[in-house]
Order: sequence, then C-alpha cells, then structure tokens
Amino acid sequence: MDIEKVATLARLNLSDAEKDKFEAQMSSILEYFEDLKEVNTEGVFPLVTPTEIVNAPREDIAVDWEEADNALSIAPQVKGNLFQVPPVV
Amino acid sequence: MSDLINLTAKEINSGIVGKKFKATEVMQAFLDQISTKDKCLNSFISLNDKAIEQAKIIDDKVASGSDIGILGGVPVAIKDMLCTKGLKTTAGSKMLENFIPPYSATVVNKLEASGAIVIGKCNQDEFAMGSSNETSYFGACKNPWDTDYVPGGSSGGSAVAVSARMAPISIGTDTGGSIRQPASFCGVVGVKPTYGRVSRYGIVAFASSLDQAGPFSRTIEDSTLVLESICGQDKYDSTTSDASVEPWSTGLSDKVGVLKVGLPKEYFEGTLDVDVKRSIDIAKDSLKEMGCEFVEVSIPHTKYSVPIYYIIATSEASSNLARYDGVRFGHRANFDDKPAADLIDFYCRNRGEGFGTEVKRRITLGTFTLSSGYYDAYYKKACQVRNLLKQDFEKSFKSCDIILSPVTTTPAFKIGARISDPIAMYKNDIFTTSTNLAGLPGLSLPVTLSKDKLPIGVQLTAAAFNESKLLQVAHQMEQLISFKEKPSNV
Repeated sequence: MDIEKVATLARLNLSDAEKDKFEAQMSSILEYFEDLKEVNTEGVFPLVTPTEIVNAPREDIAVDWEEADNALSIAPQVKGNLFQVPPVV
Repeated sequence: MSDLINLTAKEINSGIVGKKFKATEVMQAFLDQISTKDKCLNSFISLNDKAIEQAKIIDDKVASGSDIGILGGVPVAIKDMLCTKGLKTTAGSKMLENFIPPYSATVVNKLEASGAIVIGKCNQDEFAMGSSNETSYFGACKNPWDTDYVPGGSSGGSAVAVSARMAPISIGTDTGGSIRQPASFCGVVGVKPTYGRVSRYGIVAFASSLDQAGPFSRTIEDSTLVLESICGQDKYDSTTSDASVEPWSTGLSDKVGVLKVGLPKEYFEGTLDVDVKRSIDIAKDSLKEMGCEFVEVSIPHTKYSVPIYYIIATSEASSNLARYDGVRFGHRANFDDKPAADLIDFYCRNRGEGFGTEVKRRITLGTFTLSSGYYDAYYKKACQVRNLLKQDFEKSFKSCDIILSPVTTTPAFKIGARISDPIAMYKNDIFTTSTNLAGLPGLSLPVTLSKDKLPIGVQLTAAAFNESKLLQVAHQMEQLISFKEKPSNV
C-alpha cells in the first residue's frame, strides 16, 4: 500500500512514526484479507445492506428548526451567522 | 438507600409508581455510586447535571397521579455515540471533545418519552473502533470484576455502568459485537436488535450497514422493556423497518414448546477455551431442561466473517468519517502560527490531530479498500461473500429456531495485552461479526465465572425480526441458570 497516497486520499496527516507502523500493519492485514480470494463469488450479488430496504420517499416540506444558534455555537470559528475558516489559498 | 442501586429497572419503576421511594432518591443513589466507584473504573465521560431536576418532574407526576411511562424514573446511561441535546457527546474522540449536539438521537427521545432519565454519557472506544475500550481519548475504562482486565468494547462504559450498579440500564451500539462482547466480559445482559429495528438517527455513524443500538441490563426483562421503548420505524432513518414492535415483555414466560437449538459446527471446531466450553455446557443444560432439542447447523463462510467485516466496516467508516473536516464542528488545528498551505492541508491537519491511532488506521484501510483499482478486489468481494454468509444463516434457520454459540473465544483479557496487535484484536470478534453482517438479532446472557473469576456469557442468535423468540428463550434460560454473582467491590 502506498501509504502517502492513501493518507492524502483520506485527507489525513500521519506522523512519520504512524506511517512506518501502518505500512507494516497494513501489509499483514491485507494478507489476512487474501483468504477471501478462495471463495467463488461468480454471479453473487454484492450485499451492501442486510435487510430488504425499499426507498422511503416523502414530501419535501420545509420545517422550522430553532437550533441555528446552537449549531453555530459549537463551530470552531464563526463570524456573525457564518462559519469562518482560515485563508486556504 | 444503597439497596436502590441493586434494583432492576422494572423494580425501580414499580417502586416509584407504588410510592415506596422517589425518583429523586433513586437518581441520587446511582449518582452517589458513580462518585464513589467511577474514579477508578472511568466508565462515564459526562454526567447529566439536570438528572435530579428531571427526576423531580417524575415525582411530581406520581404525586398528581399521572402516568410516568414504562421506564418512568429509571436512570439510563447512554454510550457517548448517541447525541443528547445540550449534553456533550464525544464518541470517545478528541475530534468531538467539545461537541454539544443541538438535537437528540431518536433512541434518546424514545427513552425519555418512556420516562427514563439520562444519568450520563458512557466511555467507549474512539468512534466505536475497538474491542477493549482502550482506544478512547478519555482513557481506558476498566472491568469492575478485576481492574487489570478490559471491560470489552466498544461499548465498554455502558457495560461497566450496569455491572457496577452505576445505572440499572444503559444503551450501547453494536457494529461487530460491541454490545454482546462487553456484556459477556462484564457479566450483564446485552442485546443487539435486528438491523432496522432501532433508528440510527442522531447516532454517530461508524458503519451504517452494520450499526445498531441496543440495551444493557442485569435481566432479560429489563432489556425487553428498553427494546419495547426504542424499537420502531423512524421517518428520520429510512433504513428502519415497519415491522411491528410487539409487547415482548408480556410473553417472556410463555411456553416455548419443543424448540430446535442450532449449534454451528464451524464455531466448535478446534479447541475451545475450557471456561468458554463450560459456559456452553451450562447453557445447553438449561435448554435441555426447557425441552429443547439440539441440531448441528453449518455456517460454512464463518472463517471469512472477520475479513469481510473489517473490509466493509472500514470502507463505510472511511466514508462516514469524511464529515469531520473541522469546518462547522469538531476539532480544528491551530493555523495562526503556521497557515494552511491549501484546502487539503487544512483538512489533513484538522483530521490528523483530531483522530486517534486506531481511527486513523481504519480510515486508511477503508480508503484503500474503496480506492480505484482495489474496490472490486476488496470491497465488492467482501459484499459478495457477505451475501453467501447471510444465505448460510437463512439455510440454518430452516432447520433450527435459535443458534447457541460462544460470544468470544476467551473471557476478558488484560489491559494492554492485545492493543499493539490489531489482527489479534480483530480476531476476537469471530463469533459476533457474522450477526451484524447478516443483520440478525443476537444477545449475550451471563452464565458463569471463569477460573479467574471473570464472567462469561453465551450468545443466542435468532432469525431476522424474531426478537420475540430470542428474548423468550433467553429469559427462561436466565431463570434456570440463575447467575447471581456480582463484582466483589461494588
């Protein structure tokens, strides 16, 4: 596994120690996953959720939500009623 | 009033209704127990400072003759994965160290509608990723039976709270065994309902196709009452089922008739730990006494359950945890001294600082298994084998009504014993992960003590939406087994 590439895809800063540790661990974890290859899955539908779920559409109706101030109060940084972030360019 | 902490939820509710004691007295007794015992056990991250005030409202209702609900006045401890409006919800992570939710999870709303009072929020593995409660940012939680041992995880704090009489009931979440395994390690009942029974709305998402919340308690009857309260379709979670929630608690003692109990041959291959084997023998004796018959069943894909689980769970986690970007809530790194190079650097630093090692390991793994070029070999393959595993269970339930198995391969292990070896830790979940992959209901029932005086439970698994049979059988086994031990220092 190209740990640098995957960490960037995951938007995750890893320390050098973490990178070294993960690299070794990932290779043994992936080796452990290799067992799956022996299972014949030709024509088997990939099951992404365990129960039979059908779409549950509903009317798109706006409802009042009184918690906007609370939602802003837990933000790392706000300006007025906006979320604020540091310059990123 | 120290005897109040040894009462069941059912007894507490009846005592309050019958005016034998007050809800405020009950709440105070549990808060006192927490203040004496939890410094060492570390099972709570936050306490509800309005708990006594809320108990007073119940007492006022009793005084005026109003209905207080089936859990009226009963303190409930909630895993810190479930949002509680106005009460800090951390998911055991630095990422959410200061997160105060602006709304409550449906489970919490339902419990409160049944009269239960949140006493506090329980310690857990960070984002529920762990089997020992050692990955929590707020420190390891300890097993009340022997504090050198782990309580299990990820819902360790919820299991400890009930085991050490700091709450009569609690709520955990179970993605691969995170309710059943700590229940077994701590000598309490823990139930994972069928996928879709309980709304996931307001529960911090780990792996959405596996996560399910459920109760811990000291009796099956108490867990049943909690399930009656929290199960049901929710318009805020489109994966919840419209299956009716029956009054399970009224039928617990009904005769079960001649039931067939399945023993999966793959689970009993090789040498079982002697204590685990003894727990199974005790469970079998009770089932025999109930008139049940045993049949051998086969779950041929058992050996793949841990790899399938870790591919699917980490893949889903890598996607679910993408929301923690440090913009609207959660941890943000300090950019005053060292400005962000670009937007990606901004995200990477917020996330790199906010997440702990196990969470980073799983996000990394899940990102890889979903990435271009590897998706088919890992994620898609795992989903296909998951389908075969689910079919194994469907076939088995044609020849049996319920499955008996161990919960884990061994009783609780020592703190630090497995934390540096992820695969050893993951393999621990061999008997529990299949239930989540197949979406089935399962529970852990305490049975006996090991030679080291640590509790061991057995696992019962039923067909999807057959909670009724699951709870009935477990309740009747519980009466026969009569496990009455409790941790010595509580």
